[in-house]
Amino acid sequence: MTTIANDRPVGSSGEIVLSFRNVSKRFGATLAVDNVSVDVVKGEIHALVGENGAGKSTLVRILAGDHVPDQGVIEVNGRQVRFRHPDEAMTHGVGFVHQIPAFVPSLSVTENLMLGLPFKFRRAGLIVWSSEHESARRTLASVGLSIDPRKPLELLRPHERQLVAVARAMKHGSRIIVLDEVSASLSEPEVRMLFEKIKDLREQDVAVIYVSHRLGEIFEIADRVTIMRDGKRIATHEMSSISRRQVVNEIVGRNAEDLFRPKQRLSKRRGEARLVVRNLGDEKLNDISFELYPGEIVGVSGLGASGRSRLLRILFGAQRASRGDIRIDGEPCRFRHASDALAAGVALVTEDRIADGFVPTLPIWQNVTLPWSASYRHRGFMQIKKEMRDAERHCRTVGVRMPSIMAQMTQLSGGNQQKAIFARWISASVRVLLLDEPTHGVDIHSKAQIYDIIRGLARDGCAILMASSELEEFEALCDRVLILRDAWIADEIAGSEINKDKILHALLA
Amino acid sequence: MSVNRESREDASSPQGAWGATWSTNNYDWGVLAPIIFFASLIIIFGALEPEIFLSRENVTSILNNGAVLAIMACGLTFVLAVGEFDLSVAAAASFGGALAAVLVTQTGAPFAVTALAVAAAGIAIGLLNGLLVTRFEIPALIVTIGVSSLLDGMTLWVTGNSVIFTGFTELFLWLGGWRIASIQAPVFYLVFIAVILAIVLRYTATGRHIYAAGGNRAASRMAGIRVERQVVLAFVVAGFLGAIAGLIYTARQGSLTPLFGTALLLPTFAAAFLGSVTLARRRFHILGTVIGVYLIETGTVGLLILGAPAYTQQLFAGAVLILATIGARYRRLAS
Repeated sequence: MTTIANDRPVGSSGEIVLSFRNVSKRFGATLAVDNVSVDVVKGEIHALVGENGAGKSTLVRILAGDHVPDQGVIEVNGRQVRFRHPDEAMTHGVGFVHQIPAFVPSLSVTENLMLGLPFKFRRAGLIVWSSEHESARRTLASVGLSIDPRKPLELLRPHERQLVAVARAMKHGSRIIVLDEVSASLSEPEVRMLFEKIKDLREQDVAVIYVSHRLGEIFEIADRVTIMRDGKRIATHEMSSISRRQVVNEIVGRNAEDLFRPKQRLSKRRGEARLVVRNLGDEKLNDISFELYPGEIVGVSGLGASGRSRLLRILFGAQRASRGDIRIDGEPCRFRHASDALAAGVALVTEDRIADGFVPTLPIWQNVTLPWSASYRHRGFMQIKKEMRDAERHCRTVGVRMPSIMAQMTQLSGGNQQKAIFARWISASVRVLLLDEPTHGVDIHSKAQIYDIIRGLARDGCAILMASSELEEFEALCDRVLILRDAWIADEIAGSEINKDKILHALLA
Repeated sequence: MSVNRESREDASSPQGAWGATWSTNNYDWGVLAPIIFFASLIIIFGALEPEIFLSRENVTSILNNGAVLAIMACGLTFVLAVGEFDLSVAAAASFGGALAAVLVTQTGAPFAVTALAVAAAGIAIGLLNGLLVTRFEIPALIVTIGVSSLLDGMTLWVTGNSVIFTGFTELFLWLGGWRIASIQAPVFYLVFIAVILAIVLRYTATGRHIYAAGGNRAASRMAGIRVERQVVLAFVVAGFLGAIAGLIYTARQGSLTPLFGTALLLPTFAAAFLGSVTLARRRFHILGTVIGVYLIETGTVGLLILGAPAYTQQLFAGAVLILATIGARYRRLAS
């Protein structure tokens, strides 16, 4: 019997079925997982918590074989393993259920359950569907689902799909099941039903790793919790011996070095509200109401898939809301397309600049002027010289380091790409600037520069709404932070109250 | 005029006329590979068969023969630039030619009416393709294969699947047959069309938006570009030019063979793909396409002169298409 590497040994039934030993994984400059050791014992629900980017998902993905660790080993039932594919994990009895389960929606539930498995019932080499469906029905019943397994999976409700994913993991005979943010897309009663099944799994001596943002859930079902921060395992506790307050404190931690400038409260509310949002909602957001004033930087914080991006995309017209009212300087707005938003002075810097931030086949200058290219028309022709001059000037203003304005965007570093994207809005008549993860994948130096750009825009009277998963960012920039929790703005933190600790407490409340 | 000056200034700036060619300070010599290939074809054929290959007749015949193909390929260039695919350009040419032939020989419609009808048919084909692709979000490949078949069926219907070679009016034949110093009318039509298209792609907001939409649709949409409009427009340009090319072809030949366009489909694509790696780094552009057409034409004619059998034409065009796409892929990986 191995000794348990965690802080506390777990009771007598503590047979270790899975252990991470000194696992590290580096991505470029960031150490995503830093020398982590965790043991998971048979028949426990082991929660894994931490803020965005704490390393939970990377750890899970290392287990699944999506990432190869730089260092350290994983042992399953005492044997060292290195999976190269989820299939291999399956055959070793490790099953995964992800936030959005991977299914083939058009196939039947039975076929999805058997995905990657050989069909058992055959006659003369042909599949005997009646027996397969019967077997699927029994498997589904074991997780409490009574649905027709012949149904196409796409007709199932979200929690039912989630349960099918659990059933699939069970069907493969998994003794270790990893549930990664499974409750994120489920409603309250659906979560409750799922929890009952998870507790059943524990009764069957299955080890469950439960990754979640929601502390409430963890205190409800977990036996032990491992807290991660900045890629490190901070601690592992028995749930019975720790308070919620302690867990939050360990998640937040203390940030030793403050890389960002002391807060400058340059931006101030001026005059009338620029953006007024009332009772905005759709299937994922509910009753969102807030105001945004000129010169103000307001943060939007939420955990996981809380709808931050969704909110910004709705305000920009890239996505429709089903209800609610948006006004800019008193004018009601119903944007049907991004061009309507731009015409009204609303701009968006998207989260994923590779996906929808810039056009890789156009040179830098054309990317900078892209939203305004039609305004460079003179008698039908583009005023290319003027365009290039403007682009060059804007790029210089925001400090893009580039070989030439004619160079390709792909020749720039991530930080400089992002600055070039900001250069679009620098002189434009932007009244409301929406920022979605403005410093995502950007080096620390560019980060500081981008903060300066944002502050500068606010100083010039732009109203800025910024969604971010980096809590320090709110501390460095924002006048107010809206807390997006349970699909609506549950809380608001303002002024000197804004700090990481406070925001996290509000998020986890 | 001032506009003209502006464009010339731009062409002389380091960015040059072909956008992506200049990366930073060093010229990307790879974009000259097709030109070098073209030149070596001329040198090889010229050395082997100087009397025939380099004769004035042969050179003008290559020019004349390539013109209709080049007009079709220019239209296709718009569709490829916006990031879509149009397999129906050839069927549009067949249909345009058939419609023109039938109207002229069987209804006695004046030329203006015939030309307008063919143009309208081409635009309608493009609208149909464009709207099916954007509104119903059907892959362009499927849409344009379907539309091709529809058009070929209609071509056979209006022509009764027979060759039309009598009853063309003098005017109609003259419009396809006039020449200056043995260079035929279609070449001048091509120059006119290609210049306009090249200017549109390069010096107008529309051209910019087409390239942007072809480069990254989501990012273009986020930058306020009406991506769907650019896609529809590109299909309309291709459909229109396809049908017009069919009309010009028929007028030049003075006869119509139903479904003549089918044989032009592959060379059209080969030319455009070759053009996308000519003087540019993976960018579909008009000059490149025209060069591509004449490279293929030259290679085909040269091989025929050397005594290669007729099917060599297909072999050559197929090989060029594959090599050009490999070249494009390699260039993308290298960059």
